Amino acid sequence: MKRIIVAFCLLSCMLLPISTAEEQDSNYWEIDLDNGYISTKPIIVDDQVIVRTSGFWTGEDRPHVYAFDLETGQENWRFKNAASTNHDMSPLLHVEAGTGACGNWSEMVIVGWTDGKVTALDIEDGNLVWSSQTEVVTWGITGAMALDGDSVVVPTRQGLSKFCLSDGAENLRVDLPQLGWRNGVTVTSDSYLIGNEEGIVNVVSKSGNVTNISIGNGMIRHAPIQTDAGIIIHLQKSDGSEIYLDEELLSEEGYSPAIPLQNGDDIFFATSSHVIWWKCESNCTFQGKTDFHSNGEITLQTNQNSTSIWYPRNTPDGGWATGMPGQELEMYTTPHDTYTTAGAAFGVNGEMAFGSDAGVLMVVFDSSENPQIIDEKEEFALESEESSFQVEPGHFVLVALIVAMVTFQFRKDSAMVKKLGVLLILVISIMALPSISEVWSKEVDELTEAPGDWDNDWPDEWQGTQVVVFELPSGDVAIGGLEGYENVDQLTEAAALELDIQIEKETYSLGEMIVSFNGEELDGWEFTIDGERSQVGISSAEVEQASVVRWSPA
Amino acid sequence: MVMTDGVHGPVLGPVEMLVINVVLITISFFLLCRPTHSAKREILVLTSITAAAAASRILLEPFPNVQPLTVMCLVMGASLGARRGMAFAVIATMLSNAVLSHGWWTLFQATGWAAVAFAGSKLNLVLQNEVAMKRLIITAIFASVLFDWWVSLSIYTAGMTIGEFGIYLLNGLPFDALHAIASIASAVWIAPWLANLLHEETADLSEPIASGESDVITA
Repeated sequence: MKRIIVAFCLLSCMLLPISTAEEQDSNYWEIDLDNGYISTKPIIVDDQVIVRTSGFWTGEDRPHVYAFDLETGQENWRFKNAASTNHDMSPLLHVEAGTGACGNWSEMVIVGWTDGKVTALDIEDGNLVWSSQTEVVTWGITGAMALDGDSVVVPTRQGLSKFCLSDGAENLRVDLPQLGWRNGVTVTSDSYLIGNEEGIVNVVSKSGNVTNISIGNGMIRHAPIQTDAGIIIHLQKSDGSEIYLDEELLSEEGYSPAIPLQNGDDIFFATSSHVIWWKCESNCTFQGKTDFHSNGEITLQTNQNSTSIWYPRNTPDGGWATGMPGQELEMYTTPHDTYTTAGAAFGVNGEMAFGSDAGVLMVVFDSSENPQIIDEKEEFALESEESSFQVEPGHFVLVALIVAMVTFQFRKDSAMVKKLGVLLILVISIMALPSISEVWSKEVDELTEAPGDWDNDWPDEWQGTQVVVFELPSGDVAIGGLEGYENVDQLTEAAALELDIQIEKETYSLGEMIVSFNGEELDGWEFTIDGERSQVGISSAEVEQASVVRWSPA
Repeated sequence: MVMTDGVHGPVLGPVEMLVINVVLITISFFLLCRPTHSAKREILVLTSITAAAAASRILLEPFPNVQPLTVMCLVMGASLGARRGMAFAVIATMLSNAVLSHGWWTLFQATGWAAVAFAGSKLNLVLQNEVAMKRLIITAIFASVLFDWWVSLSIYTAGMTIGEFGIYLLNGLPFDALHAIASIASAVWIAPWLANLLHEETADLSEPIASGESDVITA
């Protein structure tokens, strides 16, 4: 019976939280989430910070939602969606407990996934409260959901669905003719507003009737903003972007607009060129503009006496700028800065949470005003410069096992030495698995035949030569008959020269990367060789004498 | 509400999933703990081991494919027989997946580990309370890899060719190897302890225990 009690004790120990923050001091903690980018802002709810990752999809890595203790960084729960296989960018939606016509619900967080699922997770333990499925057309849900009374309104890939908060039962479904991407939904008193990739705002009445407003030739990738003056849209176009009030053009702006933020009558926009401020009362008036590169989520920090606007910087330098457009911005940098689209999150007591494409969640505590936050930032950066070597828990385990083996060897307990040796091999195997898996995967890839990427409409003379395709927003452009180029970099340069396409590149430690074609940065560019994604950069990716290189938006 | 999903086969709605879970766990629990003569003690012992096995999967989830449950199934099958071993495998799988996430793959995992337990019951891996360690380790290695391949069938879809599936299995070999190494470690560290525990706690369960009530019934 004693052993049974011991077993129960062990079981209790196993139920303790299974991971903790990697670095802790009184003012900061961080944790590397390993399995993906952080593309959307974390949310801080009471004593928890909740964040979602968008998977790298290597090995067994898949997108997750995590909840950590805000103060200690200890993991409270996690939820994995193994079937979500594209970039998950729908922001997390926090729902307070409540009661409505369709039932009662507890406090939860609702998550939209690119496999079309909507999952409601209990905020206390991450348990699945309910799950519903929406349509998938390459992607599923990528836009911001919104609450409407006792229901959540979900912008789906080709329409809009409304689910009861208590059980996930669908109580409204509207199919729309256009595809949407990152097209959040806005709830008004009598309708839902949702944009799409064809520049149209659909106005869906709460009974499901649809009317629409054609804004322009472009894409609407944010929830439309309702103001007293009308509906505000920041339209993404192939040659930049345009800000509209209903169908009236307010201004022409730069490439790749960010998701705009409304704070009362103030509307904040951003592009690859500027951050912009408009005020919309009965009319919209321009307030200011400052040079900056932001394409993600703009967020609002409210202090006792002031508000600040934060913009994630989507460049290799990363970080977040804070301040008002038209004035000088201050930069907030972290130890893990890189491309960033996720907005900064703020708690009621001054806590701040940050995440970027590096996949590291960082939480900073500071209840004071902005200047002191910026001071903290400098201390923060210094810490990162000092910590070039990171000791992982696995290293301690290895050392402990080796010490134990030596100790038992001295005691001539060979049985225990063998047992510890097996454990040592297991720990080393676990630590080495990611690298081994990556190398092995490359070897296996070489066994597989490339799927090929030939288009029968191309001239026969291109057969057996090098072909390059650019999937530009204005349409696909292809050129073939090229010969003698050794890698993707050389071949792309040659093709772009022939087609008069301007290439913008940036150089990193890993080599060169294409930033834009004809000024089109979009959300980045990626290439395939004969239909397969490359594991290496453009300078290292070799091409055969009969290869098709295809460039497409990420 | 039955929903469909293109990646992992059919996905059940919450109510259907709950009903199936309850039915399967109830049947398996009965098979595992069907009282012989000392119901309370037997149920306590077997339930504790099953809960610990399920918890071990949850605890070790961050480590890819480290699955002590494989060796536990072998030992349970060897010590308690095929019926109880297989029921143990099904319950431990379903309990742990309730936390780790349920899906089409649960069926493959449960049947896979049940098959491992069945194999354990036939291979004389435990004699009295003594583990035949070499035999157990060799069996665990094979069982780990075969289990992984069986579970991989859960991603096999109508459009997938045999070649593509083969590539999928090849890609997973490092993970299969890690499962095998983890099973060796489990065999060395857990199996003797578990076999001994089962022997001590269940040895007298086969002995008839007289009670007034049973006397009346059998009289």
